[in-house]
Amino acid sequence: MDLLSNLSLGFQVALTPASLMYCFIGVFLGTLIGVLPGIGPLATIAMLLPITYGLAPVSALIMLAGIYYGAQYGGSTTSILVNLPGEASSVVTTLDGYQMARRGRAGPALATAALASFFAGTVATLILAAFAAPLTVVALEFGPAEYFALMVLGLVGAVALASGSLAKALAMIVLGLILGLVGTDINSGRARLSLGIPELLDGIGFVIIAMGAFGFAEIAFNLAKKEERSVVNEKVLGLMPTAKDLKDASGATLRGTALGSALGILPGGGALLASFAAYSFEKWVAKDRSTFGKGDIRGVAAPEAANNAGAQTSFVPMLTLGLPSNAVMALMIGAMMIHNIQPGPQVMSSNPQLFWGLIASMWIGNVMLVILNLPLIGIWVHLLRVPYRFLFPSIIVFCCIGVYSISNSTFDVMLCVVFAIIGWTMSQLKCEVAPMLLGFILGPMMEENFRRALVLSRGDFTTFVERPISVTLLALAAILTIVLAMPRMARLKEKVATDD
Amino acid sequence: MMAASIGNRTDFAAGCLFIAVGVSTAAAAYAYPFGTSMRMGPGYFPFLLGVLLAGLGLVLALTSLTFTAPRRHGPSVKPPLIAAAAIAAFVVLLGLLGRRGVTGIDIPIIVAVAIVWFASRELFWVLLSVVAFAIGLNHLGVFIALLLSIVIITRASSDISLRDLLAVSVVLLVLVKLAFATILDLNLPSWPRVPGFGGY
Repeated sequence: MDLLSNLSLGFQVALTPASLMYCFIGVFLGTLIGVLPGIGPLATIAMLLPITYGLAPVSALIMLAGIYYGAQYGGSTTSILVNLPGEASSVVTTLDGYQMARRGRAGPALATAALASFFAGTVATLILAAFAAPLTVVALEFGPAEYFALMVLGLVGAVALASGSLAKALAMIVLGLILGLVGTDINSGRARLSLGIPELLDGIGFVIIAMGAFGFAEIAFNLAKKEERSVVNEKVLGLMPTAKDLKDASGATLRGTALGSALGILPGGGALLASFAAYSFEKWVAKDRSTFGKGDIRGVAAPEAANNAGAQTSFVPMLTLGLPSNAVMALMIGAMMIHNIQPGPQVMSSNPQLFWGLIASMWIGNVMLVILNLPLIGIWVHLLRVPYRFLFPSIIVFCCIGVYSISNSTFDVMLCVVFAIIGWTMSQLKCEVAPMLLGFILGPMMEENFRRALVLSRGDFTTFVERPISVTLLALAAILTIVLAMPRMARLKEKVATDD
Repeated sequence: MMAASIGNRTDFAAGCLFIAVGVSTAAAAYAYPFGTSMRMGPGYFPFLLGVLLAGLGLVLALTSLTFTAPRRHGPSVKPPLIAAAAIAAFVVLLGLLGRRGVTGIDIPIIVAVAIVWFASRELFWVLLSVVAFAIGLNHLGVFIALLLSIVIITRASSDISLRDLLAVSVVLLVLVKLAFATILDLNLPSWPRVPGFGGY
């Protein structure tokens, strides 16, 4: 029973006082930013990265992971009570969750969301543990050509499921890849694209890019659009769902968990896609769909289960292959690199404590989240009322100090300004910034594997199509690109994204 | 036959920007040793990426064209183009001036932020407060730099009163002192450097 011994190792790590504390800090912060308007897990993780420099790698990763899945819980609270999703992945929860709240059933809606999330989180943790080992074995067989092909597929896949134009998303990836090459070329020692600035010889810090493009640029966006929040005034009474609620919600939870777990593993998947897909699927299987959008409990349970399951299984490609499937995972990879852990299949054998400790901590984190979210719901309702005008100065201050603290350098803070302008410009032109971050993280790794593959094949490009795994992966990427480029598919994608 | 016109201005502008960045990258990479495909020089991969980006930009720009009558126009592309000009100004100025000033890139950044004023007021105030923090930190110490930065950022929102401003400042300064300087033991210069009195 390998899995059991691995999990018990994981729990030994995750149950140490330090791990428990950082897990709690993570899920607490996650819930907090999930509830607070205008700040998401991406910006928060970017902000806190510098602070984790001094922590043990396990503690750092446990805390950062907690922020991500914790935000899924917090986000649902605002969806249900305010009709404003705290996180993008809770957008669909507003449809039925807010309606339930308006009919005085906010309590059962919140309880269902939390319990469905908890169930999904438990299942996803087991899936993560079960999948990780076999995938790692496969990945260890990979040579540079396979790795290059895998990264191509990963990057194409990551944008396949995102909304918007394919050409734009691909261009943003390439832009990220180029930014990733800034600095000293490790093979020749030559400075590339560094504009003659010595500070850039080590490359651009990815916290700087993330903070600029997501932190500062987003604040400017939020300030530009004024939004009013009005909390449901009825008191949140009676958390317990009725027997009928439980019966209705259980099937939806199971389906949401299955769908969310599967979609989370795919590149480009994760919490956001999972929640949308689960809601659509629930509507599709329902015999009578007239109640959806009018406070149907299934419309709360399914997406909430799915987004939590997806958030957790999206760690599978990150932990086993070193491939980020979304921008948050890109930040997690960055966090590992900060602590001198090279992400990839070897992490499981070289850092088993970290690997299994992180997985086990997710389950513990889910237990903490249920406790944090159900009995303490009153506190979060109060926090909902914090106006944005108090928040954004704080976010800016913490971002500035966070960036400065990476290497005590005001140059880094100034460089953030450049990436804030870039991020803002691209979002104005309807180009998503997240693919750029993925490309940035993978840029150096891709070049390295590309070069190595061609050294091994003595400069022969056919190496990519002669090796069976490599050609399969590249063919998949090509097929995906062609399918997505077809006008029918583009329309379908738009429909899925806006369907409600 | 009707002449082609721009159907989707946002896509067209984005495409042109990608072409510009792609071509500049390829041109810059061309100056590095290229090598062969077996022994790649530092210029090989960036050159490929530059060409790829320019190609994708071209596809984007071309598909935004329409041969029928112009359809509905999207949002104005003027603000993002001004912001792009700010980035271009930053790169050009940096090339002309080299490293100088407190942080090494003061002047190009300040010019870029000034140009942003014409693109978005909100972004301008956000960025100005970041710049004030960065430049102020070395000279004025973290508290005065932060206060300056908070005062500037609150200009971005009209619904913040003087009382709010004071409350936010006090809470944040105390928090920064406790969280960053005490618990995390960060090396932040606290107070202005006075010549002749040594340090912080």
